[in-house]
Amino acid sequence: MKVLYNLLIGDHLTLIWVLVTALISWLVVRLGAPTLAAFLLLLGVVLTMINTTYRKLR
Amino acid sequence: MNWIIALLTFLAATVEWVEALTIVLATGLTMGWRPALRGTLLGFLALALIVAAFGLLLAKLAFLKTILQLVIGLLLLLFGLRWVAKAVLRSAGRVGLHDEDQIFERQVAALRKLAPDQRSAEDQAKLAAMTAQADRAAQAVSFQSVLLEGLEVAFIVITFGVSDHFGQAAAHPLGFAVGGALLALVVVALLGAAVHRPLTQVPENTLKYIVGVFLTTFGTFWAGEGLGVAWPGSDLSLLGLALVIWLATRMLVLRISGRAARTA
Repeated sequence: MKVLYNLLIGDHLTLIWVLVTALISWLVVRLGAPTLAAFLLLLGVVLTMINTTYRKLR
Repeated sequence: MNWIIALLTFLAATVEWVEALTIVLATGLTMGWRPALRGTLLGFLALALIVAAFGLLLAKLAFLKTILQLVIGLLLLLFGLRWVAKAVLRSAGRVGLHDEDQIFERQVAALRKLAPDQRSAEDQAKLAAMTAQADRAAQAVSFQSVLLEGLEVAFIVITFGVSDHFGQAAAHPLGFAVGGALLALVVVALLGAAVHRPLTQVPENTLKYIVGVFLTTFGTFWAGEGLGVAWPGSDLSLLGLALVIWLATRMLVLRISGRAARTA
């Protein structure tokens, strides 16, 4: 299990960023704005990507 | 009317199979064909078992598709984000010093460089274990994409094959819908066989960069579908997502390489 976790996820902080982004999108969908949720999801993914890249640079 | 059902199913299924093909090609080209194809076969096997077990009742299990979209989308997204980060650093001429993946890749490459008779029993065992790990990841990614897209096709087949939209005008609509979906699979498989060789000519780093962007794009799209977001333009939004993610990576590359030049 640990091997698969490392290979498929491997990075706790990225996982947290992604889950928080998904949670925000889901809440916005529940509030009745599914298109806005799509844009927020994309924004969250881009921010996560920037964060993950800079962390790997350190 | 039957032919219209077959055509509609063919067109809709082609879109889904192309999405699965993109991931399988990406996995095969960058992580090895054997695990990618094994994952594909296992994906089809799982799909066949699900369809055989539930049959037309699958239409009542839409939540199953939603859950799979969410879980597989998030996993693919996490996997893709790591690939993109590595690709950006490589393109910017920087390599993460404490990146476990990089260390893993370096160790595998070093062991592979040794001739088999130069490797100790310990090296052999280590190489086998590391290769198996990488294979499992490649297998999991292609398995997930084939299962998810296959399920989407199954839902399309049921929608067109059992729908009342066509009234009594269509006899045996389900058979024609299945035929359309299978024909789409054959066409897309032939397309994959035709394009995989030219793609091997693409430089490895460029390929890994593109694969990272694709995995992140599909992961975002599927996770979004699972969460219930409304992608403007439906499947066409994949192109927009890929473009935004690619532009963001280019800006990151420029920024990181510029910073490196300033500190040098």
